[in-house]
Amino acid sequence: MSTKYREDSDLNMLAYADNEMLKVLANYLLYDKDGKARLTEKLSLSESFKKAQNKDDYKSAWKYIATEFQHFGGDTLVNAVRGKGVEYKEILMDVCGKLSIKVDESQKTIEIEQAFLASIFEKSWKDMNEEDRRDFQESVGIDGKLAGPAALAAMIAAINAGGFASYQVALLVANGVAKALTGKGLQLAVNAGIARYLSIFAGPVGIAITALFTIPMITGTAYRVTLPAVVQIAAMRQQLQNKECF
Amino acid sequence: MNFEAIFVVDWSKVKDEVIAGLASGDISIRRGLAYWSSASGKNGIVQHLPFLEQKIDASQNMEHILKGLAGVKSAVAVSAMVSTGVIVAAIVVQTIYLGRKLDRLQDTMDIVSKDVHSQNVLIFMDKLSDYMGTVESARELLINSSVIDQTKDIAHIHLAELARQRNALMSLLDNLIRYIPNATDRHQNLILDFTNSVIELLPSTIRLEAELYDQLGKFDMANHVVKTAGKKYWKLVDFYRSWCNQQAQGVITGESNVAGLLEENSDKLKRLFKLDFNQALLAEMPIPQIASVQRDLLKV
Repeated sequence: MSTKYREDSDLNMLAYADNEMLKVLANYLLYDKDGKARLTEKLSLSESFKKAQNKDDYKSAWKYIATEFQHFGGDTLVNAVRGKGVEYKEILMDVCGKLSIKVDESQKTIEIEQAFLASIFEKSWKDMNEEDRRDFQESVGIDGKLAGPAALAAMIAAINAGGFASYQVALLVANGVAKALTGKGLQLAVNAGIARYLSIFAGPVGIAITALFTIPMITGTAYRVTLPAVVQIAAMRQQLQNKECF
Repeated sequence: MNFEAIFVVDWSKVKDEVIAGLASGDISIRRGLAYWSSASGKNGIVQHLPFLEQKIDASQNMEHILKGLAGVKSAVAVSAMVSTGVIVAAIVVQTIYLGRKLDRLQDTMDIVSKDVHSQNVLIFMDKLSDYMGTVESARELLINSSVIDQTKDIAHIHLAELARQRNALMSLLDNLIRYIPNATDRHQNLILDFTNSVIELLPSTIRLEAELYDQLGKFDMANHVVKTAGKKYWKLVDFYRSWCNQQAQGVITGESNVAGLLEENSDKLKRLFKLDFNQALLAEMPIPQIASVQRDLLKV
């Protein structure tokens, strides 16, 4: 693990992140799907991180978590010097590239994340039943009469536009991924509306993420870390956009 | 450590009707005296409040000092707002608490003024320096209330100056806050720390101004200052909090250069935005109804 956090304007927001959300991110970096410690992780060797972990205070260890994430990013990129952290946007672009998501580096990080979340959401959409789809559409302000590709296109557009739709989808996707990979959903204080969709979406998102891990291009250990970690970070940013820090 | 003696109200010896009147709004405490308020339908002084000598370490922050005085505060059923307001006002007037904080501000100001050549910042420092001087002079007048008849003329001059300088300062403070992202990392920290200190101290200096009006028996003016300056103060605090949130949003979207600054100062800022004792200092009090003979005395 690179011992020093590489200054990264896209990861500094972790300083304000919710403790529970940071814990999920740290667990992606520390443990594999079966709950076993990752062979390549170095985070648990940090005394400062361990102290914070023992106190369940992940907020105070955000830089250690971010550094470890940057390190895993370094392992996925062939052009990166091994062992040296890589900036978040580069990792995000790499993950999007592997999933064939059309994004441009000149776009803002949050826009790329929205496109990334929309792509995972799109993959899980087909596994939802018609009634749940229509219900969810209406909850984000899209006419329930729209169906099929038109409904999905409207949903994707709403997610890419930011605001409530992308916030809601970010949490649903992050929750589905957490449940599929750790067996436990996010512990979030959300309104009853969102809470209901968390359980409805957990299954379809889980199927989508499991299917992604079977794609040859992203079967490497590092992608099994960076992909869910990027989902989590993207969801944290959406969550923080709806929160007053002071 | 800098222990100083202060006199705080000994609530255990305060008359029951005063305690009850404080809760109902029938009693108003001004400069150690409990008066019937204008709403009570009565007039005059009800009690010269009994005092208790306490030792405090004026070099500590206010929360720490108040914690040490917790026993005095909770002795009887006086609302936290009233007792905190009375105690903090006593600390501000009777000790060098404010003076120490102002000295610290002056040290920061010297560094900032020397290194930062922004006209806005320099003007602000200049105004603050003037204000601090006037606040300390006003405190000197308040320490010894027995010479009020000799200091009355000077007090009026001080009050006019305090109002003018306070208003100038408060209207410039938002410029200083807006300047922070343009400063170097080192100066960002200094200016933020400095801004925090000024915002923390303003309710104390506003209350000190009101206490000086009370000393002159101008209770309506005292209330007017607390009300109008308090309104501006909370507007300023709201502005500062919004600015911090706006900068934090910039950090979240990766567009702000003050990430480290806000992170380092996060706890300090959160503390500043919920200081109970500042709310107590700026709480409006009922206006005393003085007896005609007292009114004549105050006209002297």
